[in-house]
Amino acid sequence: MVGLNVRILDYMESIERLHEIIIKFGTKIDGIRNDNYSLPFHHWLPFLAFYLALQAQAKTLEYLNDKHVNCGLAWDEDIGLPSLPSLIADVGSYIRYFNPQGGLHMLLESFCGWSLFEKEEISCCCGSRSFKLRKVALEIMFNHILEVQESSVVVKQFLGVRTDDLNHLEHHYNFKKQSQRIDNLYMIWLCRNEVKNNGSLEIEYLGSEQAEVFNLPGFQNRIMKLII
Amino acid sequence: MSNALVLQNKRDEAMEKIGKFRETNIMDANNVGKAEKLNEAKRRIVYYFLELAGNNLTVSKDQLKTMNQEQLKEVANFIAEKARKRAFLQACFYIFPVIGWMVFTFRSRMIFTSFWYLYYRKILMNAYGENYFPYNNLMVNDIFQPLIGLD
Repeated sequence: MVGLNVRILDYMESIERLHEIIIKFGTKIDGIRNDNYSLPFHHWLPFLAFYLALQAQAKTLEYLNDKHVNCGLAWDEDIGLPSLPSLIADVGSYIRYFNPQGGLHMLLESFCGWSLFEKEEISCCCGSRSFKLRKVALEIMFNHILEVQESSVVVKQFLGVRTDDLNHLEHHYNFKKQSQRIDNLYMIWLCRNEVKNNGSLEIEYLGSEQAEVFNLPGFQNRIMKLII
Repeated sequence: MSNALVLQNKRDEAMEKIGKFRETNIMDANNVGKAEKLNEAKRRIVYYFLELAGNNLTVSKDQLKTMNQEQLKEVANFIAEKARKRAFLQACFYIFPVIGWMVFTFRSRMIFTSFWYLYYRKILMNAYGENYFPYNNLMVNDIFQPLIGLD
């Protein structure tokens, strides 16, 4: 169900609200870091990415608006957060104006669609009868999808592998889901978090799936570096 | 653990390890083969050196053993110079089969002495440079005994 209770907030109020939310998110992340949650840290990676997106939006609003020229922000009262299309548009503006480097650029871009996160090369003999190792060039693709569900936002995180070597794609991963949009792209990491901001901020882990050969600790480190 | 986001699966890891083993084995085999080839060249050149020294200079092995390393080096070079022309003729005999076979039959033991002397000299010079002559092999009694008719 799509949230319909949208209000246009004055830019000052929207920035204030955003900062309040960012502080709440930050406190939550500290709690996760201090192991106050029973689940492993990597279960909260979509939430961390969402936090970065909100920070990017706040910076964009501060940069674009002043008392002379400003624009209101659509705020979804049902979820207690900026409306998601506005959020995605502001994240896109952040990339355009601030041009962040490295992983942050890729991560923020992934809210607007599939983005190239990294390029890698692997020695692999998958699908080869001779078991002779060959070099396979991989593109690690990243995507986030935000969905409103009643009074909460579900953040879906996808990480996929794209290559022209179909033998590798077919045989290397014990878990994979083919992308509907991009050819030769198989998702090897899916994770979902639910974020509720009804006065107090609540986060919930909805599940994750991953291929055995996906280096989750390495991925977690890359995301963590962006937050610090 | 690799820092890459996509890791090798267990089969890839196993095959990579086997590939490294195979590379090491080939390198070891090459090194062993090279060392064996040089040792063989040292033994053979001493044999041909003694043959040529006996024929050209009419000196025996025991007499040569009394000479020092520098003197032996000069003798070895001198024999090489003398052997060049004869090696060319020997090669010609080899090229013209009928004549070559006749000489080969009657003088099989000596026919290619100069040729092989220069051949092994080249191998050892490539490996050791100017100090190619295997002085130690001459001093010990490790002399190559060729099969008659095959050298």
